[in-house]
Amino acid sequence: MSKPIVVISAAQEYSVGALAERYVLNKNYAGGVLAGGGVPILAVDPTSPAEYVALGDGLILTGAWPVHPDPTIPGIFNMREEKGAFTSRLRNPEELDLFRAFRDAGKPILGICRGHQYINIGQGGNLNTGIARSYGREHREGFFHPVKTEPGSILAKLYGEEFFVNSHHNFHIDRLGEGIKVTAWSADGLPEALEHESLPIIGLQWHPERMRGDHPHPPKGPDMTSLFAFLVEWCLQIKGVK
Amino acid sequence: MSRKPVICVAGEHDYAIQAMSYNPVYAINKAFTQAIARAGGVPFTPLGVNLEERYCDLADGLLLTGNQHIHPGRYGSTFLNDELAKGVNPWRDYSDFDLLAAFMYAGKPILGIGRGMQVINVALGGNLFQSLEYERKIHNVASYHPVEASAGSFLEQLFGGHFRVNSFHRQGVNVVGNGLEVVAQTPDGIIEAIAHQSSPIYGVQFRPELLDDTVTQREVPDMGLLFSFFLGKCLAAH
Repeated sequence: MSKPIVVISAAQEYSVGALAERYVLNKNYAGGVLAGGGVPILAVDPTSPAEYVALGDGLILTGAWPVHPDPTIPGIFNMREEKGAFTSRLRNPEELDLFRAFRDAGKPILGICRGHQYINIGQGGNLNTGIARSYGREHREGFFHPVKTEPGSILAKLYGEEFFVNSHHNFHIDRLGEGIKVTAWSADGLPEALEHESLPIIGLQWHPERMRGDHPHPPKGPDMTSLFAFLVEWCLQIKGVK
Repeated sequence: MSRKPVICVAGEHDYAIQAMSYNPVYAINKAFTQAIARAGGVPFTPLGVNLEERYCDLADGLLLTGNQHIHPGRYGSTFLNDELAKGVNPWRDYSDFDLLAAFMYAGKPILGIGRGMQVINVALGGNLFQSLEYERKIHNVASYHPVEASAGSFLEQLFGGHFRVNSFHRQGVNVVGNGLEVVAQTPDGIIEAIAHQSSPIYGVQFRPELLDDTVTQREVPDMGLLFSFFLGKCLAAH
């Protein structure tokens, strides 16, 4: 069977060199998909979510830039923007459309960090936007810690009851969206992963794409190539059913 | 409703500016993807190498974009000076040249812009001036200038025989590749556009993605027409 196409959402930045706005993607996201056996393509047009669903077998909503507290999107409205949090308003509507399109088509979705939070918002949940302020705990800038998984979850099957992950966030999913369940918790009690109860949707608060290769972060975590392979397998299964 | 053509828009291999992370990234300027979308196409950007045939299967045409220089080893030359050695990226060369080969082999239309035109020329055996300023005493970076399009060429049909374009390049086509013909030049003899004699392959040295009808520059035509022309070729190639 031919390799499934995995659509990846892009970050956006202003390039000082090119004097232009551009879409960017850390190469390690594509590297995870390639190693997992998929063909990655970057979504680069906000007006084409339906076309990307037609092209793609699965979706990865990526990290980089916290969710902007956009008053036009329910669930984000009451969020407070943290001082010094570089949020991206630019990414919000584009990724919500992509998420909805793939969700409604029943195609697999993997959310990573910001993308994981965005799945919860897409399902009508909300976020806590200040872990340091709310709990006096620090999950930013590469802190690493163990997580404990819920029995029977995808993560428990892949990596067991407890394992180390990296941590690059100050937000976490708070009130859960429709059909969302938490499948992993940090040692200090924060929700770290989600699954949808019936749809092929999984979200991770950490960065699995950094848990591969010669410089995995954290050094003691599991190799998460298998997570990308799981996503690719999911794509193939659902493609085969249809 | 007619089908929208899907365009593989090959971007840069670069490093992130965002949060000063300097992570290796894929990057594509929005101007390119917006130009394709505005003309009615669906752009996607390929990621990774050695999957060119899959990307070709997915798409109706290939857009090779601008920015970054081609390694002179690709055309049997050496760096003209140390400064020029800083502007190359071997990953992007692999990606662009392999994508070009896959789409050429499949007979699907290709448009090269800026560097993209130079990739087409080098892949077909041509070579480049590495520094127009040093080798030709011409400095056209960040300016506008007139071009003359050849009679009967796609550019002449779209914009007439004489029109003005923008200019953001330091390098340019020198020896023209096999099967290619020059279809537009500046009055001082710099090659501004090429086309293949028998295949739907087109290259322009100027930057049409920055010249749509939202930019009102005197005597510069609406280059949205060029993208519409290219998308039309992509649909016709079926």
